[in-house]
Amino acid sequence: MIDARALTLTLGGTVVVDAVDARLSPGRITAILGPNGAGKSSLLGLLAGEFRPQSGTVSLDGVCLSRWNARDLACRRAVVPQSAQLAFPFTVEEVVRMGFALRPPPPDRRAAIVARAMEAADIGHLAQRSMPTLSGGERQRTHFARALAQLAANAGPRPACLLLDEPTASLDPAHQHGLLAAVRAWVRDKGGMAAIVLHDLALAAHYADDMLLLDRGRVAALGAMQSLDAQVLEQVYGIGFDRLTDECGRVRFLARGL
Amino acid sequence: MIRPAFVLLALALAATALAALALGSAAIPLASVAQWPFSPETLSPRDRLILENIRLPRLVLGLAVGAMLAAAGAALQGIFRNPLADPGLIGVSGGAALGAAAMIVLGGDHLVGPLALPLAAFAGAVTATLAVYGLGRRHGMVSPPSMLLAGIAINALAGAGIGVFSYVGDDVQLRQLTFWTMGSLGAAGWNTLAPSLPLMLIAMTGLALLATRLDVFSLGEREAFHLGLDPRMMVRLTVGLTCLGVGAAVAAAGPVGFIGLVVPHLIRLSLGAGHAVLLPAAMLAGAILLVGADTAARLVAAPAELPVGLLCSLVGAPFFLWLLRR
Repeated sequence: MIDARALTLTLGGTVVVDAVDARLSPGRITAILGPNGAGKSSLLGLLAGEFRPQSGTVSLDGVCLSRWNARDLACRRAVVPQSAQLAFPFTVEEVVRMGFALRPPPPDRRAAIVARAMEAADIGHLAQRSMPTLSGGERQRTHFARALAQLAANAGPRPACLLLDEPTASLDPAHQHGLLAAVRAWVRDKGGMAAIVLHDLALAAHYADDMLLLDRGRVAALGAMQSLDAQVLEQVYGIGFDRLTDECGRVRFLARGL
Repeated sequence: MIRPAFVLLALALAATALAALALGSAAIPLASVAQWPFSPETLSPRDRLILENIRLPRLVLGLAVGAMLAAAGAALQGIFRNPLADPGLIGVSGGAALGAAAMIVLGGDHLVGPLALPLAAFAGAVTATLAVYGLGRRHGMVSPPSMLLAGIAINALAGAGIGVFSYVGDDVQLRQLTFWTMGSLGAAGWNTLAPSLPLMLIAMTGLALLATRLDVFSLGEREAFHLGLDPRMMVRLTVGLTCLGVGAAVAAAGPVGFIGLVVPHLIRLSLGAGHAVLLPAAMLAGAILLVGADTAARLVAAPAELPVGLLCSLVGAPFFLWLLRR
């Protein structure tokens, strides 16, 4: 379990994350929501152990992240970046293999791990393509496969954590659902925990169990996705929302526009 | 694809090495060169002297410096995550040359022991690299334009520093300095090799061991951390090894430009970006290129010889322009 308490992060004199509490639980997907500049990516960076908070703590298994070394932490959590600038013409398969390059599993397991990760991200047909020749969405899916390979290679008894920063930003609708369904399958099968920064409330309502709504660095709402109400959304985003419940009992949010 | 390429590189290396030993203002028949390792006494005393005390140390130095510069270029490009990084371009060689110049002029005769020059060059290389790395960063990311601008400034500063040392130096020091600024294998002898060669071998071995980490680092500093790499440690290790090797290379041969830029680029185009292949292939190709260029430099204007650094820049600079335009 990842437990964040009273996190505050200041970047360049601006408070970007302000006294945020968050908890990622095994078997659940948490959507991190909020307007542009609300501090979603910074919060994800804190949960990943990338930034040190000015105050507050993030702990994994009850141990503060600052006391984990990079290598052990990488066995337990993977991050899918918003956009990663690859400097050289590596092939898709080489990038996926980088997921476990520093802690390689036994040679006979590698091909299966790579194949499964590429299948989940639907990039099997791109394996030998060079990264710079891919579209933005294909690259994003490659980094998703890399993260899956990282966690599959290091799978242990304790639940792992997958952090995704706007993973659907440059994906077509089919692949948006494909990727999030793959995250859900991973969470269910491996008992892992996931946090996803999302803008699309429909996708969040469809795939997330919990939500954390940020507004200018502060928590505006926290809890089960079902408990999110339209009024808070209006306050945070400044436009009207309708909250609907479909025939399966799922909530839907529709922006009314200006 | 990859195995035949290595066979090809090894064959080319052997051929270049043979040519470098046989050709020159006093040609030695190829048959004698080939015989020499097995029965040196069959050669004439003059040929043996030339081979053992002039051409062989020069060949070894050329191989080591060429391989070192190519490896340093590949590693720096990995760390800066930019194919334009090169020990000459971003000021590492300039800093090393300035360190060497300072040692020649200020160190005096008693201080310029066999290890003093490589160490001074190393110190200069480290200072220049850290300055470029520090100045080239914006918001925690290496920004290529700032990095190149910082490299230009550091190079200019190093050039000015070398100018100052040439101005205050006496005639003997001036002659030594001129040798450094042009880059040449002409001073190669077993005594110049003794301190430099081990340092270069250590640096190259270390860099080759970092291959997997350089792959991971190519994804970005943050991504490298996510995958379990300590990015700061990685930068320190790579920059340290690069400076050690380039410092030693510059101390022995002066700053030879463009090998570190051109060779890794060509290898990446033909064999892919993975550092486990890139680093050894670049070392082989760098060694071939420098020894080949040096042999050409000895032949073009024989019995006089062109500084090989000059020749490398003559070929490398247009290639660099092509790289920029692409």
